[in-house]
Amino acid sequence: MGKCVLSIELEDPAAAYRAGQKVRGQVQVDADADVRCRSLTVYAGWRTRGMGNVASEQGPKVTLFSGELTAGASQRFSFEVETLLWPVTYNGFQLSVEHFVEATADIPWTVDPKVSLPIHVTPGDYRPPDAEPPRSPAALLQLILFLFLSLFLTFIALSFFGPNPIVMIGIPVLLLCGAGLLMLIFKWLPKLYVGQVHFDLEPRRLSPGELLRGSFSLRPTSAIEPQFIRFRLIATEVCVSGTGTNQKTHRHVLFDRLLVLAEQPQLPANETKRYEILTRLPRVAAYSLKLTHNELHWVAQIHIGIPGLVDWKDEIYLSVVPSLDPAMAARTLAPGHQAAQFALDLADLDVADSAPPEDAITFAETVGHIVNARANPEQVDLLVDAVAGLPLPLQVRIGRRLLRGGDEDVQLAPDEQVVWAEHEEPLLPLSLYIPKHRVEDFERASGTIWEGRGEIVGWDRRGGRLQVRIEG
Amino acid sequence: MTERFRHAHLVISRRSPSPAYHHTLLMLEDSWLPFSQWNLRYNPFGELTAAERAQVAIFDSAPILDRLQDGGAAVQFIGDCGRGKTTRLLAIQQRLDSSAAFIYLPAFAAVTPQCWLRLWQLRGDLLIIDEAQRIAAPLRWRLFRRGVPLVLGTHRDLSRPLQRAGYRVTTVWVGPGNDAAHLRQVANARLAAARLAAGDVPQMSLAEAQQLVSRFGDDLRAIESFLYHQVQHQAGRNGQMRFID
Repeated sequence: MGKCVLSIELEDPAAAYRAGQKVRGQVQVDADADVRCRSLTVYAGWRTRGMGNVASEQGPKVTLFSGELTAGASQRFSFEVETLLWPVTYNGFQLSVEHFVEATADIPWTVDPKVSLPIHVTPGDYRPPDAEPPRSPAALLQLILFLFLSLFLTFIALSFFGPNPIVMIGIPVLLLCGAGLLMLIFKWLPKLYVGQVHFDLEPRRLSPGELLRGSFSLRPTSAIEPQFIRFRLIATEVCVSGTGTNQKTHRHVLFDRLLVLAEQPQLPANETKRYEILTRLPRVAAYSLKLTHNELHWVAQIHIGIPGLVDWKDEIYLSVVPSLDPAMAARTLAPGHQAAQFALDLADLDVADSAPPEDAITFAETVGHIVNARANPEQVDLLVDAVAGLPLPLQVRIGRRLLRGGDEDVQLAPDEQVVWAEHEEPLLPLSLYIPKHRVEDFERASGTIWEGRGEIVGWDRRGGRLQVRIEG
Repeated sequence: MTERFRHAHLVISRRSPSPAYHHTLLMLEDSWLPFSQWNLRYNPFGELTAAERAQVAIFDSAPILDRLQDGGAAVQFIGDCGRGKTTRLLAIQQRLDSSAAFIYLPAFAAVTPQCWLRLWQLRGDLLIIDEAQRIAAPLRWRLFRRGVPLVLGTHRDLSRPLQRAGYRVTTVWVGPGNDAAHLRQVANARLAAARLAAGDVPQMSLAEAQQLVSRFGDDLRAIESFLYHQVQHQAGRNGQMRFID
């Protein structure tokens, strides 16, 4: 039986295409026998790779040829197809999105030859929809489940004890009590403990590298001392593989940044305590995705550790989308599978830092670049903007605490104070933003070398100081 | 575009080189493909479509297909989850072109009227039924009485009802054959299917396969999941691909 071999050549094989952009190239057909080709088609598409069941989409098919192919002849057909708009190319850990150009020939009485070539598709002008939180079982479904369970258990009890009215009333009442007890333990008691809470973040639709601001406030009805109040920014890949009883859900935390808002705070009764949240999304090409069996969620979470009770948690789903700002979009983003290196744990500043990845920029290198570019403020702003939000290990000589000042400093949060410091080699003055509960530690450390982690937040042009937030 | 790429592009425009040359470009410089340094397009151990699974199946279907040529033949593949029953069924379906009908029975199929209906309406010269132990008993009797050649994937031995219905039953136990040599073939077939361009791809050795079999037994699904993570942790790195720690 005759065979034909297909191959694709792109005009620019190394190009990165914007979503919706045309891909041009040629399909080459080499037949080793005379064969009739019903149609030679080419199309662009995407598909998922990884641990989840495959989700895919194909663009419109373009027919390039139909007719007889002669043995030994090699024919080339030019094509032009549009890349699909969404999702764009993504390389995560357990989920990847691969764009491709594929050509296939419909040959009667044989397996249709096919060839596929991967292409790199970057965001275009398309605006993806906002991310939705995964649907929890509806209240109606829960009620049906409850009624079914009641009836089932009542039936079982009746078969043992006969038509006893105590059983018929007792089983549903017992079930109601059980449900109420669960609600009390997992929902109402934690809520009662923390009192009135307000968790807000802006913006909820943002792009990699952008600032995420917000606040969390609580007003307990009695004096409390929770173990901690933490904020976490988490990106999770959720993939479902298999079907039926073989179905399995795989979760992989791609990025997890922990900010400790307070450690064992003493919160008086009927007083509102407010915590400011300021962090930056990592510059990683990992956008919110909702595909069949394959999703990527960005969640901001508040977690209050309650002694002796179930912890209280609240979360907000964020939509991480490609930037519309051409300057931001032009900057190279790290691939999704490298996201973890942007999310070093900032919880314990006294823990010795692990060595940074070989290709990651260090704090000393950053300072070196800034010192060299100090004469050019625009250049410094660009540099600072490029590394802002990256938690970096640093080693600095602690100076004095700034007693006044900071009122005009937009970067300074209400629960922070400024401590001056110096990076010694190369020499560069720093303003460290220290959480109030750690200020005394830094005062005691004045004049000594301190090692820990910090996040560059800005550049004080007037004072010539690099502003670094120390999380605590 | 870097100088290196610009030069390559000019060469392509003038000489129209082979497709392999174009593929090679994907492997140069900072490719967006995280496994291109190993000439792989993607992590080979992830989920595949049904057609792809059939293509990479390491399974000699010829003897089974010969047996099914005779009327009244039934072949059942018995084994635990993750041993390769479904892959074998898919491979048989692919090699039979279009005449076979395939159905997967989900959990509770025995008590789901929709599944009864779908199963009853199933028509083909040969019926391939995955999770056949879920066929409700009354329907099973009627289905088997049709006498159509059957290929079943099942967790339970169905030879007695099949024989009662007049079938000549062939039972294939899936799992005991998943030794190191078989695993090596399975892994290398997956690696070959993920090939980015003409050229070599990493290969699993028999010793590595033996270590995996010693650790996971005959559970191919667990081994593939392990290998997926193992390979994924090496994304973007250089050096030889490691299949085990």
